[in-house]
Amino acid sequence: MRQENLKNNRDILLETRNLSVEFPMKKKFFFEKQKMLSAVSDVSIQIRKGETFGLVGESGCGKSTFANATLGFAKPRSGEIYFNGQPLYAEKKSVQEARLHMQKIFQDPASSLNPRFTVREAVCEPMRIRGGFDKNEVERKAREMITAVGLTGKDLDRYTSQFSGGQQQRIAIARALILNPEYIVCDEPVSALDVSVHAQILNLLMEMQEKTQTTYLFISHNLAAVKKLCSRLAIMYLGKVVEYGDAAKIFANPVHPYTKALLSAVLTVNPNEETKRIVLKGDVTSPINPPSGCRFCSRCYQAQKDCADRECVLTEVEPEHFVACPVVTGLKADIEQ
Amino acid sequence: MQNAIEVKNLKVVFPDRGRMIRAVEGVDLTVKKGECLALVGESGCGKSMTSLSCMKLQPSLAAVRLDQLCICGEDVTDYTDRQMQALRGSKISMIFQDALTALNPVMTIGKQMDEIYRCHEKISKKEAKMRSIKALKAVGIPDAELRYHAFPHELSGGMRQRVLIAMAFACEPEVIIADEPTTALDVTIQAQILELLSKMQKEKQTALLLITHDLSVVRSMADRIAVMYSGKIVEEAPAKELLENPLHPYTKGLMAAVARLDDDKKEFVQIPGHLPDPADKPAGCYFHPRCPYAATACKKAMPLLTQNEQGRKVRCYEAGKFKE
Repeated sequence: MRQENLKNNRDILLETRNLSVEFPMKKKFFFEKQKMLSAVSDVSIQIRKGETFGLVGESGCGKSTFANATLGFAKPRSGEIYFNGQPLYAEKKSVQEARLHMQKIFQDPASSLNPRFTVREAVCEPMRIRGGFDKNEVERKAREMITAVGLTGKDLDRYTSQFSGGQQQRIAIARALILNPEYIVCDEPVSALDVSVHAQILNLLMEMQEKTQTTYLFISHNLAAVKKLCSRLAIMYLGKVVEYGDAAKIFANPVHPYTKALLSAVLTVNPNEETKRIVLKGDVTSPINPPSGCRFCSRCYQAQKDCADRECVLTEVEPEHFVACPVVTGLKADIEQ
Repeated sequence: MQNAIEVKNLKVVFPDRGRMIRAVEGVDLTVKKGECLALVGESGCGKSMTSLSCMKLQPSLAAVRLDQLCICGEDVTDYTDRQMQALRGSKISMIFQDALTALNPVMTIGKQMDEIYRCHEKISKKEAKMRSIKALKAVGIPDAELRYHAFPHELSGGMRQRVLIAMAFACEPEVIIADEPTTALDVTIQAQILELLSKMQKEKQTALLLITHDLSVVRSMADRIAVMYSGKIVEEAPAKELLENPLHPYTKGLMAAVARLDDDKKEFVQIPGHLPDPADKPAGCYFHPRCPYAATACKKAMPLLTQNEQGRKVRCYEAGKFKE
């Protein structure tokens, strides 16, 4: 039944249903109860074809684990992932098949590229692994790709370690796009780079998307960048999605206290603007055996007594805009009445 | 008024694969007492090398030449390493970017903190422990007594940065150099750490040399800003004036490059091109290949850092002439 539904819904590329990923913790004693680190818990989102879907949250909130699960790198404990309407983890083969259409751009290009590879070797590696291309075709495509990302054919013979961070990230993008994947995970592609280079790389990503119609899952903790790039987004906190929906609506009307805090943490350069920064107290709570209710309650400035036990479900506050906070959504309902 | 750091004509050169890299080319810097000076620039522009040279901590291969270096009024130009060692920690100290590599991974943070007190002051172990715990509490670490026995890897990134700040402020130095203190952190933690740093600085009246590549970090903290490009300072001004009216095209570009929430343009504003190869810098103004306002004069000779009528220092022929 569900499968049929999905087949009809052609514009959804990737869908997760109640996805949870857990990692077992190392035991200190043999008889100790096994502790589980819940990295992603109960996440249901849809990524549409050709869009840029933003995933925002602090480090350790499970956004990279979620991305890895959609790439078939982290086996979910429960829940399902559908890629192009096909369940991703049904068989071993289905993961491998789906991966032909997936790529990833990593955070730090200096460590994701082999310094002993020339640019040609790095860019052509995906084609070599896939196989079935003749030599001239590989060379032609490599040249085409490397000029598309703003380097020149001459650079193909230089080593990847000879380039600056921004240029290395361009090489990484060329390498990810060379096989025309349908789905690319951009895992904080600019946070290891200088602010002055951010714009170049983000513009390049947008330009390449226009050309190839690829779908991006864009992971970031910088909301200002996400605002321009993404059509829809999900904000994650400690493995759970706290706000989800249309990007424009979330930015126009942030509802969850955590989203508000994140938005206020974006720094500006305008000297006359007053900062009303919401500084959250404390660090991210440990994801080992998290509370059953709201996971943000220990840092929340709007928390009420029973927040730790109250169940948080994504509720629709307006069309295409979902928030998981009973306090805020409940309050809203009262006002409307 | 006495200056906390005064550097005159600092030059740093080091060899790299058979080429000479001119990392810093004649930088003059003064940090007044109790003031926060921000040194802003892209990676590879020589800002970290400048800060390390101020503490005489430059890598052994690098050759440093300078006319004068004063720390808290003391002329340390010809100090030996041992003489400098007495100053580091007590008069001048440093906060590094990556707390995990700056802290010793096989020593508890308490032990590392005690070391500072025991080195610079003749106090007992017990007293050192007491003061360490007090310092940890001052930077807002909960359960400081328990954390005292923790190893660096047991703390989160924000906590480790707090420990580094506590260590830098331990002996109440007069100057602190903070080299990208928040770059490795998340946005919400970054807000916490910046708030803590400016609170501590105001309380203790410490001079701060803040090094960063992000102008938005600087806005709320710095009294003065110096912008560095390819080994030279291109603009220096009080923070508010510089951000309200940047005179150098590079400063302008850096400001535009910060992604903003209230910006409705479809694309990100970018500075074209990239930093020149430090072993092969262009003739004339180093910025001219990337500069939208470059004139013929810019390609011939490097402009000087001149002061205009309003007392603003800028290194550009066309400074202030161009408009939006």
